[in-house]
Amino acid sequence: MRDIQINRPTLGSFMSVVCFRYLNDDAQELAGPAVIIDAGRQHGHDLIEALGMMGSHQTSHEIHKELNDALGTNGTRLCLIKSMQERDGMYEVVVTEYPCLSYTMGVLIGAIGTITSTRMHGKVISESNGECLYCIEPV
Amino acid sequence: MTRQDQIAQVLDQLRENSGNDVTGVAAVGMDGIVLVSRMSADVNADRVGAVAATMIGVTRRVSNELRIGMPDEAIIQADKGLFMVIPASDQSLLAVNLRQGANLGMVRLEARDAADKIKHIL
Repeated sequence: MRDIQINRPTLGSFMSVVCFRYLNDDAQELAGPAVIIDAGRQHGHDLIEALGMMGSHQTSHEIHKELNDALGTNGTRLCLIKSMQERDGMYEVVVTEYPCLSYTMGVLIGAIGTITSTRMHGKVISESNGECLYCIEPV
Repeated sequence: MTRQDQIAQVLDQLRENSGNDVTGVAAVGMDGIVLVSRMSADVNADRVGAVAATMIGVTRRVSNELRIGMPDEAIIQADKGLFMVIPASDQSLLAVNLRQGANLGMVRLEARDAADKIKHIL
């Protein structure tokens, strides 16, 4: 797990999505989406490791709750996970208030892949009105 | 036979045809996610996949800025070996690790052939 030191006694762990978007958008424009997706995957993996859920093979309902707690209003505030459904190892995840499609997808790939001990990849099925449907499935 | 099995067969064939010149090979999605890896155990294939996809991303960006068309491949020549990345389709690429002193011309031909086969499988 990556050891990230946050030495910000006044500002704490949070910063503006605007700052994140400058970093994200330029990195993605210069190097393509892989670098952002990989960063998200690392975060998703580390998150599950920190939560002690590696290889726990929980139900999609349980994963939904844990990830929404960790990433939502009371967590890192990456996004809100509206719903998660699993069918034959494929996860359909609906997310709102995400800062970036690629990074958020990477986090879901890393998290679900680590929980299920399965190599996953993902794609955006639809995006409209600030809501995105991802499909996360085994490679 | 699954798609992964078919890709694995192509990668194994590439290694076999290249003798000991190829020390590792992986088929990777353009999102950096490894589809099938035949990298050696001491290599983190997931990281190599992400780096290979990023290499193609950067190479495309450079080619676009210079207006020299779409890149066919990207090669890193280091003092202990070479690393080659070849797009296999719009959605995938082939990452090949070569030993120092490898017959680059021969491996390029074999790798292009493998990339073409992967394109058809996907």
